[in-house]
Amino acid sequence: MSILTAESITVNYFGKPVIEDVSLYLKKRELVCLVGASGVGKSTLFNVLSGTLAPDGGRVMLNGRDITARAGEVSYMQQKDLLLPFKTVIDNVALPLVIRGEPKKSAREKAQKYAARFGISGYESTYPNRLSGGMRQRAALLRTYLFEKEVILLDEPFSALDAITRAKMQSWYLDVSDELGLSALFITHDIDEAVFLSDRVYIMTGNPGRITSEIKIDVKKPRDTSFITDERFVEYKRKILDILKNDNYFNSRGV
Amino acid sequence: MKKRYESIIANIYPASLCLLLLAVWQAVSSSGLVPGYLLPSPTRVISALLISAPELAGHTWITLFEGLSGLLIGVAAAFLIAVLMDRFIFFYRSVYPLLIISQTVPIVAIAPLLVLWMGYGIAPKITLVALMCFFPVAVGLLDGFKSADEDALTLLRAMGASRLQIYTHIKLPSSLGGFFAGLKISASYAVVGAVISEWLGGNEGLGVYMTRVRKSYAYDKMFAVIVLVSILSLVLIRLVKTIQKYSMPWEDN
Ligand SMILES: Nc1ncnc2c1ncn2[C@@H]1O[C@H](COP(=O)(O)OP(=O)(O)OP(=O)(O)O)[C@@H](O)[C@H]1O
Ligand SMILES: [Mg+2]
Repeated sequence: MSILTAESITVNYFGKPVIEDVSLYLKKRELVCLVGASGVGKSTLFNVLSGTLAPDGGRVMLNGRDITARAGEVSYMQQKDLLLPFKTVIDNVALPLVIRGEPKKSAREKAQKYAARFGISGYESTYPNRLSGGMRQRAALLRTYLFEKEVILLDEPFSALDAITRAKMQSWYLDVSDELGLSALFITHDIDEAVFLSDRVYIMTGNPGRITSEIKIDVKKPRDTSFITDERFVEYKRKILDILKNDNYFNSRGV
Repeated sequence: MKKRYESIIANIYPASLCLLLLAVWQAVSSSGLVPGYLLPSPTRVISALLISAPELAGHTWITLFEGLSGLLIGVAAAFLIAVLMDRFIFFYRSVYPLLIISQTVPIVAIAPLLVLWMGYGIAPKITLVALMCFFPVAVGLLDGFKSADEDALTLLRAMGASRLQIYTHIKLPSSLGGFFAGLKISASYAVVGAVISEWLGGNEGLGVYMTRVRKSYAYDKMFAVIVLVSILSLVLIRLVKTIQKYSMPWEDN
């Protein structure tokens, strides 16, 4: 049973379609990656799914309920970490609870419970400009999680990190995701990341952008880093790369 | 420790220049190049300030009161107008150009009109200060509101935040930098504005006192008042800076 579905989403900017007829679904406890060239419309699709952008066609359903253009129904972490520079780390993380009307004190206490698991303990009362890149992302992830919605949308959460930190974050994310039972859609440029993390991968190509392929990564979780050197990993990676290579839009961008 | 050292170094240059200028001034006055009654020497100005301190105290309080009340009213009005301009685009489009044009009207020309309308009491003085202080704060706040990160606003909307929450959690904190930049300018206008308005009539205040000593050719006392007004303004600006430091703890300096 899928919890989130998008049905034939179309978005125009200035009368020109940016994404067209995009449909997808997400099941409970699934991690699904969305890959595609820069500018193909991945973030635009997420804006629609999160309800912050009204599509020009199609609808978004959450557990059978129409949530098209309704903000606040899913947890959304944007491409930038967007930690507010004028709030301490703990207040940034507790923000969704405060917005929902919880008193500041209990919101902080709730956030504090996860501080260790998300690797930000000891930094609760500093300001975000003191955090390392990995910490910022984990803080932003915790904030997203504390929004406490069934579905989580993550727009390139690790893309700004260096390779070593990113690899650590990926393993960490798989663990946390399993512990907390997250259901997430995940945008990434990094095909290794997509194969390593995903249960399924959607590939977006073309201009306007469409989802042209869907690949199931049939490898049991939990996965560890040995999967990366597995021949199945290489096989999946080649498959995705082949599809992206045939994308004219991708090629025209010279990526 | 390092910071302290750097700030001492940074202060040495303006302080030395200041001392140099004072020395030149003292030399010119005492050499008799310029008659002492036209340009009293720094030492005479200081002694005039000390001698007239008792009579200055009362006037100082009045002027300070006018300056601070005007500043507060100006800031409150600026806040209201800036929020309205930020919230309603039609309000912004209709009011903003008028605000800019209003700044081309010389404030000194309005002062006599205010006296005409409101009398010789304290009201026209506070009004004038409020008018002068309004604009820098309004512009600073408005720029600050507009500088709020568009994606951060989207983030809050995605969390289902109300309009008020968007102001309290993002727009207001984002505007503090612009607000204090404007407030520092306004604070430097407040005391001077009060003094100017007092020149045009009234019974008390530093401006009234200045007019009196000028008429009696006591130029050393006049200079003393000028020094006092500068000191008051500097203290006020310093105060704003301190408040800013405590309201924006996330700024490193
Ligand atoms: N607010 C907007 N107004 C007009 N055009 C926009 C707007 N936002 C995005 N676009 C355009 O829509 C297209 C898709 O943008 P989008 O940000 O969704 O791409 P993306 O796939 O997320 O790219 P990236 O991987 O670089 O983040 C781009 O060509 C972009 O220029
Ligand atoms: Mg994007």
